[in-house]
Amino acid sequence: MSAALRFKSGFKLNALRTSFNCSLSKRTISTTPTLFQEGANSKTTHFGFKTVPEQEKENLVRGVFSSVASNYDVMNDVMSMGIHRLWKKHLIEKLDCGKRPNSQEPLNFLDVAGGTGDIAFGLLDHARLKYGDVESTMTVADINPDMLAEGEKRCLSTPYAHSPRINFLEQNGEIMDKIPDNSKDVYTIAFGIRNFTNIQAGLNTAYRVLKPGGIFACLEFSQVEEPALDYIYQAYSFSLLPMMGQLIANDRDSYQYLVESIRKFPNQETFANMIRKAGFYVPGKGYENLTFGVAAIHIGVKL
Amino acid sequence: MFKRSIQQIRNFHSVYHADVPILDSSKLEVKLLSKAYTDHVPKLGFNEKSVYEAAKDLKLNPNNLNGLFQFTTPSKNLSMELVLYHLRANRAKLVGYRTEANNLANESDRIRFLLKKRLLDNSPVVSHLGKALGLMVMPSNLGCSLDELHKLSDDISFYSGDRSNDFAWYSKRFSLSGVFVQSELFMLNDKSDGFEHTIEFMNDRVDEVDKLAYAYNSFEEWAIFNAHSTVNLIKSQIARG
Repeated sequence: MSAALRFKSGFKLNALRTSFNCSLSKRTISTTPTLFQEGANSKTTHFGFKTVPEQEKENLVRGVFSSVASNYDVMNDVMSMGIHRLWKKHLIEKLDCGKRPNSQEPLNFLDVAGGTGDIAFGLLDHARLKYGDVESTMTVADINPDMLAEGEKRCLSTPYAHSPRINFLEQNGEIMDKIPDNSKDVYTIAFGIRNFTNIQAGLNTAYRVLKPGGIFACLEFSQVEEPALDYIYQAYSFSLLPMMGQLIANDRDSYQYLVESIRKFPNQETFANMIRKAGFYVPGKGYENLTFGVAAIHIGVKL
Repeated sequence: MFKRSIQQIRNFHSVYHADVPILDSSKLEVKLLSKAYTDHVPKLGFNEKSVYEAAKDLKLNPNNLNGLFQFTTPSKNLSMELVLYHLRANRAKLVGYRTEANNLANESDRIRFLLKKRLLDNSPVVSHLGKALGLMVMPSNLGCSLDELHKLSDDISFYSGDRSNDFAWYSKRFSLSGVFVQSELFMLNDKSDGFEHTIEFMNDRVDEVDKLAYAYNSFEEWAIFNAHSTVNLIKSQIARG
């Protein structure tokens, strides 16, 4: 029985590997800047391993997140075994933002794709508890009204309920028409940018809305460089995660998409170069790997 | 593959290649740290405050700048990056002392001269050096600081004309690192004029190393001579039958 199961899952993994290899070879062509830059002449994009027309991806992603919004947190905890909390905590503490006691200007934070508000509340808490900062403001932007509603609901149980310091905005991260140029000090995006139809446009917009001296911080799934660990990670994510999605949230397809979109996301070096291309100054090697590269934090500074 | 080859920049000197630049002053981090180091560290010490003051001078907002240092740098810590800047900047200064050192007669004198220059370069920040050393030996930072220490002793050896290509390459650098660390610790409590006690202490330590090297080389010569003699004695006894 177990041998049969093992055989079956092994077979499935191989099948996925082949499809992944195909997509990899496809990607070497499609990662040429034109696709990410404006996509005017390329009409298709990735939706997981599927290739879909560009105008459709937004709706498809919306569908995924609308359907996972209500048990997004439970699923995150189950899938990452709670580690996503450590990653977020690490990001918040190391960014160490907040109006210092002897400083004049409060900060303007922008958390994009921050629907459930983990990062937003975390950043405000950190600034308040470490520096006594009760002036800095936070804008939470998300393209998905369901995720945003989830965040607003959770906001009620934080000290920032009904506070003018925090506001929720339904915004497309690639355009951000309601956010003026040069208006933000800190731009954070955690596990959101890989769902953008045009990632480069998202980065260009980040560059536009940040003030000179503003910092861009992106926490996103990335590629595990160690081949043996990568094999285990791929096996785990492709065989167990969609199953967990099915068992816990009764939604296999959404979680299958999440796994595939992680695999499709450019690796650390490529993404760091995209950040450079948007105009940011990238300090040091540009990224920090978390948990062997399962996730990575990318930093950019607008000079 | 390409990435690896960039990371594996050789960690020794080569007479056939250009030197690897120690600091790239076009980088924002380096600009900020250098401003902090020269203008604020002597007063405020190796801490975040110095960098914040420097950020204000450079018209940057200090309230969101930690992210620049705490993720992608080798030590992932703002204060430690400042300490590393201190180590690198002073190591870079040694290049400028090379011509002066070349006028000296022998290798030992050149080593003494370069060590003296390096120790005296500590003097503007000597009151905060204890804390900096404390940061350097923290387990999370130890790797970076030992790396810098090796690079320092390697530079000093190379600039003073070390051509060894056997095990002496290692022993010279180890003993130089030892001398430098001991002298720096001595310097923390040195109240003498122009740190002359520290220089004297350093010279004594170099003397010891020289003596030890002389003792070791003499012993080696004696041992090899006796080994040869013994072998020859045995051979001659066997030949006699």
